[in-house]
Amino acid sequence: MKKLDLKILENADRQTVERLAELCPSAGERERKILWRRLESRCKDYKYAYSVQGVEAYKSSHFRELLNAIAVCTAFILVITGSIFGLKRLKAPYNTLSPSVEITTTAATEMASNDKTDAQTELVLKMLNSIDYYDKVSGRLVEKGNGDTFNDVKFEVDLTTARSYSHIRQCWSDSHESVINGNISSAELIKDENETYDFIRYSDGNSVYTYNLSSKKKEYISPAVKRTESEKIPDDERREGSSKNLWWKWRTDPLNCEYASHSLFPQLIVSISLEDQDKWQIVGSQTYIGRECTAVSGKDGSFTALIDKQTGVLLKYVATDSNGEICDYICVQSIAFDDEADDVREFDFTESEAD
Amino acid sequence: MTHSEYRLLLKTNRTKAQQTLFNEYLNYVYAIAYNRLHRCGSREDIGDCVLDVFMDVFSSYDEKCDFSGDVKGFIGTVAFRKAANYYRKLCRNGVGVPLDEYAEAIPSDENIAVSTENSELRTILLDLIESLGKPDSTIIIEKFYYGRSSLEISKIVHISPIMVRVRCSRALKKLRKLLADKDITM
Repeated sequence: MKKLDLKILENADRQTVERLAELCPSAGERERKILWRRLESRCKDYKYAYSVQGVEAYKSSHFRELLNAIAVCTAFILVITGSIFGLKRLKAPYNTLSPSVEITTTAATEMASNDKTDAQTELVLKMLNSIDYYDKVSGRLVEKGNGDTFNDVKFEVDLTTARSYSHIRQCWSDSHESVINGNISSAELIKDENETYDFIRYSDGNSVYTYNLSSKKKEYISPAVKRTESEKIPDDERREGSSKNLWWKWRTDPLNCEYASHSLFPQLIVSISLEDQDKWQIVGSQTYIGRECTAVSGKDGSFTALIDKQTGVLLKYVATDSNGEICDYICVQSIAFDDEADDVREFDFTESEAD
Repeated sequence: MTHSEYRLLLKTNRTKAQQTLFNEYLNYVYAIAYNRLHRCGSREDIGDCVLDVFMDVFSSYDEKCDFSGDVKGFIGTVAFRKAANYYRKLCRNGVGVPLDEYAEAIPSDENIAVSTENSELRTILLDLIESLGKPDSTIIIEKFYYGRSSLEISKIVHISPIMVRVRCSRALKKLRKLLADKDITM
């Protein structure tokens, strides 16, 4: 009998690689999006860097070089003479100077532009460090699942103890617009082989478990991540990559609440939509579910988002595709921080069967 | 996608042409880069290699060429060469390749008989994995070839992480049985 190891697929020939590529996708939807955005950004840089490629090098004759040298010398003499003349004229009254209005306007525009970029950077850094702005949080959100599905997530997180509780219901949606507007009471749970996608994700501070409410099974997921393991990265070291292709470094996620982390610690959304500051803008402020938010939108209209001013938490994100159809969303329906937040409940696994 | 289709798209909408090409061949390019680099590089290295391949394809594509076949051959060649360059660069930088693994990773031309047998085994294995049907075939390859977690796979195959584990264990049992029928153990 021959022996076979699945490692046999490693370092394979071209034919095998082609079949592997055909058999399964290499990346999920979000990973694909990130790769495409990074590629777009590189293409843009490349266009500027190599815009004169393929043109033959110009060689000037010695006669022309001599003429150029004479022209440069003449220009230099004229500049010196002009400067001396100009300095003498400065003794004249100030009203001979050109109006300052134009200069002021240009300077003001530049300053406004810099202020905009600073405000964008400040906002992104707040989002990337949102976990530093609260200790406890609880609430409810909906986010788009695959196809016509969405996740309804109730969450309670305590960063100081690494404990968390979230109840996730994966449901069918008739219309994503109505889900975004909060009409989810009649949503039907997804079922597969007698199992519903209705489960608890729970961290006791040491380990993270999942408990399926239909099969009553408990499953170990991973060790819990403590807040101290999510080291803060200094702001000036936060950008990574070469000067032409920068992206934001990520911190370890200490929420232990995966299904709410895209909102509570929105590093992924920053990577997907806010990486290139030329492609989005701050459009104003808005109050949403009782929180003061900064409203941002993609310049091409591809997304809108509301970010909590106090914490950097993403409260609403709606992205559309090139046909204007909704292709992604996260909408927080209620949220409370720190003293106002619910305590993380104790979850009883006693009825469950450990794997 | 054929060369002529790509050229036509390039004339009408360059960005759309490139995005279509990217969407269609990302799996292929990623599989090539992963196959070559996963022993010596990180996920980021593989991602960078994939992006470099597409950059090279976009920038070096001759829009005046009169080829009419599939673009896959061109993309595959660029990808294999770029992955080999990355491999050499990563190995030179000494990024975590123990000597014994390094030796294993260099394709050997000494054991032709073994290579042929391995090639046959690979074909049998892939045939059997494919016969499991989707999503089981995808789960097995994502888990044991790409080394992804159940959570990551759940996002690709659109079922919950718990179901990924359940299906993976069942599919593996079935695969073992299918292999045993062919006198192969795993």
